[in-house]
Amino acid sequence: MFREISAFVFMEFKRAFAYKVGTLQFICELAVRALIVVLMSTLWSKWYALYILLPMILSIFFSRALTGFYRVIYRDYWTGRIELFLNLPLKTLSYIFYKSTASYVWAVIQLLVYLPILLYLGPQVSIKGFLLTILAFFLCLLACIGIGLISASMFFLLRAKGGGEPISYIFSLLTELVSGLYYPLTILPYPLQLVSMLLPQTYAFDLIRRAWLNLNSPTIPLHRIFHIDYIIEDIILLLIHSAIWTILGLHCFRRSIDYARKYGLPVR
Amino acid sequence: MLVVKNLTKKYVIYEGFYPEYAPNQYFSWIVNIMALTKRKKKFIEALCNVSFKCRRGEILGIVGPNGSGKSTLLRCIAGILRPDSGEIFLEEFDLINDFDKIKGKIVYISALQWRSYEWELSCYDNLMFLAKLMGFKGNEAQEKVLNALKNFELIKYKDYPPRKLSTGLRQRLALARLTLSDPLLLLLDEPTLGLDMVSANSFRKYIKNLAKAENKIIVLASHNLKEIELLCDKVLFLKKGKPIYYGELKDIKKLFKNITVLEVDLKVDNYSKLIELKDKLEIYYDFNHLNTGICNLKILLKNKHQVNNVLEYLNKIGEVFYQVVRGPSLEEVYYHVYREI
Repeated sequence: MFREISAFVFMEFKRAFAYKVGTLQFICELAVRALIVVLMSTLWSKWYALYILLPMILSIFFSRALTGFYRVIYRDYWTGRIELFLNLPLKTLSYIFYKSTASYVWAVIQLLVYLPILLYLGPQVSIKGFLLTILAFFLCLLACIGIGLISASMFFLLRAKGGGEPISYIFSLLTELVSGLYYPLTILPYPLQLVSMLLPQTYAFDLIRRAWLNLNSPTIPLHRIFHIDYIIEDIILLLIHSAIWTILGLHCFRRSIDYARKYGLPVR
Repeated sequence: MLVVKNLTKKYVIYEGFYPEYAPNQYFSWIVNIMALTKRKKKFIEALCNVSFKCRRGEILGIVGPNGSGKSTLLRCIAGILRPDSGEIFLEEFDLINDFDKIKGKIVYISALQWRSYEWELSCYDNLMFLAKLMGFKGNEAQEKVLNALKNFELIKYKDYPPRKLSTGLRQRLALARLTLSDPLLLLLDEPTLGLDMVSANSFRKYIKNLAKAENKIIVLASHNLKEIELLCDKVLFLKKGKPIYYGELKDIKKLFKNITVLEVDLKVDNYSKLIELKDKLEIYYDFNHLNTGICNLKILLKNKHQVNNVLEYLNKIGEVFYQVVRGPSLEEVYYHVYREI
């Protein structure tokens, strides 16, 4: 597995350096985002900059998980690579995982840029908080991978071959608007707070803020219904989300590949 | 042995509603929306009860006109498409249900597969990437890639990206994948497309050697019937997904042994007579040298007895310079078969 992933990572890097404009654009975007966070910390407060930066770092990975699989299928379909990969001694699911894993290298680079800013903001985090962050990250990533797989399966199931499909679009839009990425959920109208419960990111962002910023007040509607520890409630909800989305995603993806093979869709 | 039994595959296509007339430009968008909603589902039979067997060391050629199902058949065997019904066995493995168990032993090179290679990376990097995915490690992978590049005379282009290569060189790069692994079954879809004569010939030798010396099973789809005649032991003729003829190459030729080919060089003054001739006879090939007025004709006759009559007629309408009477080549059999059915 490691050999295959490293082959894809190597390929991704080589391609990135071949297409210099795209790489330059990535570096510029990274610099601008970092600058905005630094400006926020000086103009407003370090606390608010941290409040934004923590979920922003996580969402780099989550958004890749949401859209990465669809992009792999989209790109490989139009270049005819799906036909090539389907003939290699790789399982279809492994191929799409390995290939999208390569794109996480860019997420890690982004993380490395944000890390010094994060340290500059001086967060106070305990070991327990750190472990909670890792738990929230992996559970939410799993859920996003599940949604990403559903999104990728839409390429064949809905024949969404034009570079966009509804699943990742809706989830990405809702994440920006109602997951509490940039502002507390409590400022949103109640119906939108209910919508936010459909997103795994809502619980991950809440959990990580509780761990790093010592928030104690209820933020999600469910917090006001079940009077248990907010952290435990977030973990349980994340577990449910990751289980549901992963199972659904794997099922959808396998079905879509069978469907594509049946109707002659993997080839142009 | 590769065994394919009663393979059937249908494609679904949606026929759009394209109205010819929109009253004016303001209605055209309504008509366009109607075109989107009124779609008819239609099934196209890509393969219909295709069966054949190919033993180790044998090369099977699949021929047929465009859209006859050659590529679909290869893709079904390669596991890229799932047939609607039928069976495919490679040795003891069921390729439809247990494909993953034997996936590494099948190599499928599609027509224009070079398009799947990374456009900006060097030939070496492209093949190295594939070698790693095939399970080879560091030095072994490097050795395999360099061998592949040498075998297909690409070593001096190893640092060139495919975008800087000619179509023929790109095709050679696609074919170089064959030498990376040790497959049992090779599925080749128009492998010599775009290759120059020398490269195509050396590739044919390579393929023949793979089948005979290394005991591989090779299935080859091609429009180049001379290539099929040179390489293949068996031939499968397809038309609209249906098998028309299947058997040993020599048997197919025997089946059409009555067909006689008359090759003549004819000088005609009155071309209308020649056009009349075209309506009466099965003229496989004709080429007019306008400057000399000489016309090369290859006429397929159903039996030898017709030769004298035809020559008599030709002598009446013009002057016959050169004449040869011979048996049909595969290309001529193909022409005859597809014209008749």
